[in-house]
Amino acid sequence: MMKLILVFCFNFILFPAFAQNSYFDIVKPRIDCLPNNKPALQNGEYIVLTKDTLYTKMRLEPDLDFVKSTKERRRIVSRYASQIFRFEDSTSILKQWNSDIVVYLDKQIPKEVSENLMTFYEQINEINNLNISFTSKLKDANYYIKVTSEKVNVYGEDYKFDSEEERLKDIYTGATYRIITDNNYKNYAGVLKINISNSDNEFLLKQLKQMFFISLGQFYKYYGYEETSLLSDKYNNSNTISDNDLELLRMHYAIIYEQKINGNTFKALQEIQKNQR
Amino acid sequence: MKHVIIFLVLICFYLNGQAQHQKNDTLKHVYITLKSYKQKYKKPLTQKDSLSFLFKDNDTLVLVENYLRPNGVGVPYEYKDSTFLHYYKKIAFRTKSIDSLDKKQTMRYWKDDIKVFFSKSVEKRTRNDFMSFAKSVANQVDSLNISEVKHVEDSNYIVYYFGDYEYESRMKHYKNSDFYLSWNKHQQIYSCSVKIDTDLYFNEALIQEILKDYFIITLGHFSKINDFSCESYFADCYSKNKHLTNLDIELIKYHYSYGICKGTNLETFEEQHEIAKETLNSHNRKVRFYHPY
Repeated sequence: MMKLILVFCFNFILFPAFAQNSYFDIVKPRIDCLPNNKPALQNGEYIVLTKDTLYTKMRLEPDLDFVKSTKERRRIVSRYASQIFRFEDSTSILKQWNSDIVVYLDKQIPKEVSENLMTFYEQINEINNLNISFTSKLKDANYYIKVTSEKVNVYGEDYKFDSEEERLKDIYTGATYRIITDNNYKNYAGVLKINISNSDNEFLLKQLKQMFFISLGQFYKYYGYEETSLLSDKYNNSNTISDNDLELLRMHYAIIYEQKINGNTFKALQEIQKNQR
Repeated sequence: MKHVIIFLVLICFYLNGQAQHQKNDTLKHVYITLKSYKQKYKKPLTQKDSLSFLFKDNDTLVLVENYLRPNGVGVPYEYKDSTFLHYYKKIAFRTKSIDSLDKKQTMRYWKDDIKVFFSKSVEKRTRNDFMSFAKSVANQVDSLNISEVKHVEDSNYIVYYFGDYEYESRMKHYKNSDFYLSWNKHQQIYSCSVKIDTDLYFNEALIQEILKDYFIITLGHFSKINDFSCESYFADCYSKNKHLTNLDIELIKYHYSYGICKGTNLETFEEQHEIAKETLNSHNRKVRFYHPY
């Protein structure tokens, strides 16, 4: 009987260490590779070197309120989850920028369009962990909006539009982007290539606004969204960024995750959030 | 002393290694493990052999008379903490999860000096940045030497861009920047080609970053892991502040140290460590790793 009591007590003491009840159980913290005197994370990993020991730095568990799917937030959380993890594929992995985005705009882009684009994106500088700036020097950039004379066809030759007008209005007609992503699915550089030969300034601005926004989270556009959204097929080229779009970015950049996050781990974070406070 | 002789011979003798010169000598009585015996001598064991078997630490040792030790050098075992070895194994044996290790994965290394050739498209400042970084690594690691060469035929490490002459035909159809490593049966890397897509890596800063990244990985066909903070070159995540940390250097130094066997698979690596640690703990003596060449 005494043995049973001891086993029970032992399990009770150890349980918090094994249950997935903490953010760090889902997103494993990394060992700080620089020696430091700051407090180490309890139960964190460590490495003993010849002259130093490297620890996992002490950090606070982040506030996960942004994943909470309350009655008021259900719609936006559902939109976010479907954008990032697609509808049914819970293994899709979240991609986010983990470095400041410094954009260089090709000099061939009309000045009016460039200036409007820069003004437009100044609106999102209040998002945590997402910093966007523009530079006049290519050498300082990690995001290049590049004009090309090549034919850009994202859809492929056999894709059928309902009409030529629809094809010309599609933002992927004449434009595409490629992002450099590390093995942890974090973006750190990219090129948005655009053929401007058939575009008027208004369409070009709309196209750049939408394409750039999409590349911030590998989002996709959807016909069902309100036309103020940059992700809508019917986007109205508004001068302001919609609240829903801003909220998507806030959710996406609330935390720069140290590990890969897929649909399943996102659901696990939602469960952990329920127990926070 | 008997233990020292036993282990001195039983480890590494089937491997090629780079080492300082040491003359052949004959050891009258040497015990080697059954596994090593089978690898070295292709003849079956006789009843007479079995009479002199020695059982030690769950291993069967076979007596070899008049053992002719090949040319080579003996280097004392380099002790490392188990936490360090845990991560070293993940990196050097390219195992994603330490709990589901493929024990047959081998570590790979450069035996010869690395001679780098850059295609004409590579800007001088990028060449200088790369060579300065590569030399800073080599200067800290024994038996790793790096230099730049002007002629491709003198090189074993080529850096070029998409659109240049195709120096590595096996990368002809590659759509993304990448590298191609070749190694021999002893797991010695003898060539590497690095091909960069400058359409995507559009300025010198991005090119320099990826070249340094590839350089570290190609020093041992290393795997990046998700345990270290992003400043480390062995971390699987990008950092603007990436640099050679003490940890990085210690990992590379250990990889090129002759205090461990070279070109082994994970299973052998672990077995050798077990023996070496056991000897150190039980007899307070360091096993010597003998590296023939």
